[in-house]
Amino acid sequence: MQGGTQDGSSADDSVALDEPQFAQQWARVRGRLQTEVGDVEYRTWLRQMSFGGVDGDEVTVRLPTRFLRDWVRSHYGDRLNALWQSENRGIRRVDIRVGGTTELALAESVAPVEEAPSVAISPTSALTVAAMAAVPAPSVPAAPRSDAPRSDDRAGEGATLDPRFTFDSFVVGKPNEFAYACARRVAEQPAFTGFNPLFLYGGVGLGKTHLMHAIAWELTGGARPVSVAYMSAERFMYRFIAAIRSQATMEFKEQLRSLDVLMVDDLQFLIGKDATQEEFFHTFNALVDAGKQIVVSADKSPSDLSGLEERVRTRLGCGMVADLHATTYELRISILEAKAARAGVPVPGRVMEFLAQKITTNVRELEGALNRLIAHANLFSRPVTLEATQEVLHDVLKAHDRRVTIEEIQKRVAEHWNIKLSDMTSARRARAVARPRQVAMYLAKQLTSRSLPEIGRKFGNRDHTTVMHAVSRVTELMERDNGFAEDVELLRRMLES
Amino acid sequence: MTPNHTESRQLALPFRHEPRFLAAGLLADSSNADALAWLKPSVEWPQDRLALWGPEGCGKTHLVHVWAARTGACLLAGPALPRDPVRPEHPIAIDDADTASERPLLHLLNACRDAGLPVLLASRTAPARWAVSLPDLASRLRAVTSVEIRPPDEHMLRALLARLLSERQLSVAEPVQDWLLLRLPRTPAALREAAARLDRAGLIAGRRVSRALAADVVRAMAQPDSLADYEDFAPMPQAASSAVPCLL
Repeated sequence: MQGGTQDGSSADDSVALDEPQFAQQWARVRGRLQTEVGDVEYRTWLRQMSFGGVDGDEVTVRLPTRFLRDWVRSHYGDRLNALWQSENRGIRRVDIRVGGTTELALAESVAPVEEAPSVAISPTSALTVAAMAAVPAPSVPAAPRSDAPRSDDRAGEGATLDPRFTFDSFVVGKPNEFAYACARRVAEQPAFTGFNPLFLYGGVGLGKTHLMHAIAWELTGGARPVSVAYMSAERFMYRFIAAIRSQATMEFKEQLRSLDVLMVDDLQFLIGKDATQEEFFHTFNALVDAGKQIVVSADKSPSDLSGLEERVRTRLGCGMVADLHATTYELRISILEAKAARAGVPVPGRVMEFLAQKITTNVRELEGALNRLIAHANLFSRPVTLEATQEVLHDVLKAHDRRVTIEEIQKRVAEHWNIKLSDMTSARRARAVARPRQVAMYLAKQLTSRSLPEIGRKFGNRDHTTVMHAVSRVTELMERDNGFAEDVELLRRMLES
Repeated sequence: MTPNHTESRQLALPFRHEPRFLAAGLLADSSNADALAWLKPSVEWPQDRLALWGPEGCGKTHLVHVWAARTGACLLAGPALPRDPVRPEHPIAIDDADTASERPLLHLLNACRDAGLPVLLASRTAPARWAVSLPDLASRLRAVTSVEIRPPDEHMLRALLARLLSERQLSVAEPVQDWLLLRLPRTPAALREAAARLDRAGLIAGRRVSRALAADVVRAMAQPDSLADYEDFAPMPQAASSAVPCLL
C-alpha cells in the first residue's frame, strides 16, 4: 500500500476508505479521540491525520510530517490502537506513517501546494525583481476584479479604476463639498474654461483619489467615448524612465498627447525628479493647449509645493484649485452610516459614535477601521459590538501595547487586597497575604513570558515549584469560587488595559 | 583548525539549520487561530491587504511562506523591496515588513492596489504602530487589517519545543523537555535559542541531551551577554539577511 488511495488492483485484501464501514469507523475513532484529548490538543496534533486503508488486520493512519508521525505514535498510538479495536475486532494493529493527503491548515482543499507555479517561493529559488513581470500569472483566489476596467491604456500603464470610488459612494459634507462640486463639473464638461487644470489638494486619505476615480468612471461610462488616463505620479515617472530606456520617448509623448483627459495623482512625488517634471510640464502644456482636461492631486496647494519648478506651480494653479479639508465629526458619522448601509451589516450607533470620536485623522483610516470590523464580523459570524470594536481595533486605538511587568502585577494585587507591597516578597504565610501573593504569581505567569524560576525570584526568592503550586491553587479556586474568579479576572483586565 | 588533544571534544561547526516552511508543518492553536482564519482561500481581505504581527518566533514567516506558496505570491524581505516602481503580476508577501524603506513600500502597496493584487505583511508590531514618517504610508498602514498572533500557550510551547528538537534531529527524553519548559522563558525565541544551544552542547559532548546538559543550557541562557557565542545558531534564518536569497 503506497498511496493514500487504492486503485483496486493492489493488494487483494487491502481495503480503502471507500468501504463505507471503515469510513464510519474511522470517523468514530477520530471523534472519540477528539473527545478524549480535547479540542486544543486535537487541533494541534491530530487534525491532519488521514486514513490510509486497511490491510488484513492492520489499519494505516497517515500524517503529513515525520515530526507529527513520531509525536502521534508516541502519544496517541496506544489510544488509536484501542479505539480501533473497540470499533472493529478484526483490527490488530494501527500503523502510523508519513504521507497521505494533507489537510492543509490554510487550504480548504482549493489549491494544493503542488499546483503553485514553479516560482512559488522555495527556499532555494532566487528570482530577480524583473521576474515579477515575467512569470505567468497563477490563478489566485483574490484575483483582480475582471470587471474593473482600466482607464485608457493608451498611456500604457493606466491603473485599474476602483469600482467603489464613484460619485455615488462619495459622502459629501462641509469639508469636501467644494472639491466634490468641482470634480462633478469636470466630469460633466471636461476642459470647461476655468476648470482646467483641476487641482485637488488636501491631507492624506481625504478623498482625492476617490474623486479622480469618480471622474474617470463618469467619463468612461458615458455615451461619448472619452479617452482617460489615470495614473499616480510615480507611475508617470516609471513610464517616462522606461520610455527613455527603450528609446521610445516619442511614442510615450504621443500616447499621452492623444488623451482627452489626463489625471495624475500625488504629484508631490515628482519633487526632486527634474527630468520627469520637465516632461510632465510639456505634456501638460500640450494637452491644455489642445483643449484637453488635466486633473492633478497633491498633498499641498500649488503655491506650497516647494521643490516643484516655479513655472510648473504657476501652470498648476491657473485653473481651479479645490481643497479637501479635514473631516468633521458630522461628516465622519455620515461616512460611517453610508458605508455600513452599503455593506449591509448592522453597526450599532454607539460603535459609529465611538469610531467617529476616536479615528479623526482621515477618511481612509476611518473607512479602514469600519471595513476591518465588518470583515471580522463576517469572518467569525459575530455581531459588531463596542467590545468587539475595541478588541479588533486595539492596534489602532491604543498608541502602544503595554508589557505588563511583575512589579506592576504585585502592586495592583497588593492594592486590591489592601496588603503591603512588601508582603509580596515577605516570608509571611498568613492566608491574608499568602492568597494575594499566589494570585500575583498566577497573573505573572499568565501575563508575562518570564520563566517560572524568574517569577519565583521576584517573589522573595521562592522556588519555581512554589509558583507552580500557586498557579494550580488559584486555578482550582477560580473554578470553585465565582467571587474569587471575578476578582482575578478584574485584576487581569485592569493590568491588560 | 587545531585539534584539542587533551579532550576529545568534537568541533561543532556552525551548520545553519534550514527550517522547512511547509503547510503541513504548521501547528495550529488558539494563538494563531485568527491568523489561520484570515488566510483561508475563500476569505477576502478588506482592500486586499492583511498584516500578521506578533513576537519573534511565533510563526509569522511560516504562515507567510504557506500563503505565498498557495497563491503563487512573490515573497519579499522588508529590506529588499525593489527601489524602482514595478508593476507586480502576482500577489506580494513581505516578511519583516517593518524593516522596509518607506517609499518602496508605499509604491509597492499602491502598485498592488492598481493591479488588484493582494498584499500580505508580516512584522513584529502592528503596522499602525510602526514609526513611519511618510503620511501617505502611515495612513495606509493604519487602515490595514492586522491580525495579532498572540504569545503561545503552554500546550503550544510544548509542541514547539518538540518540533524544534525534532527539526535538529535531537532526541531529548520527554521528562527533560518538561524540565526545560518549566525553567525557560516562555517565548518561542527562547525555545529556539535553547534548541540551538542543546544542539551545539550535544555535539560538543558527543552524547544525548541529558538533564545535566539541559541544566547547563538553562544556566547559560540566564546569563546576560552569553548570546554572542551563539550567533551562528541563534535565530533561525528568519532574519532578513538570511531570508533574502530564498526570496526575490
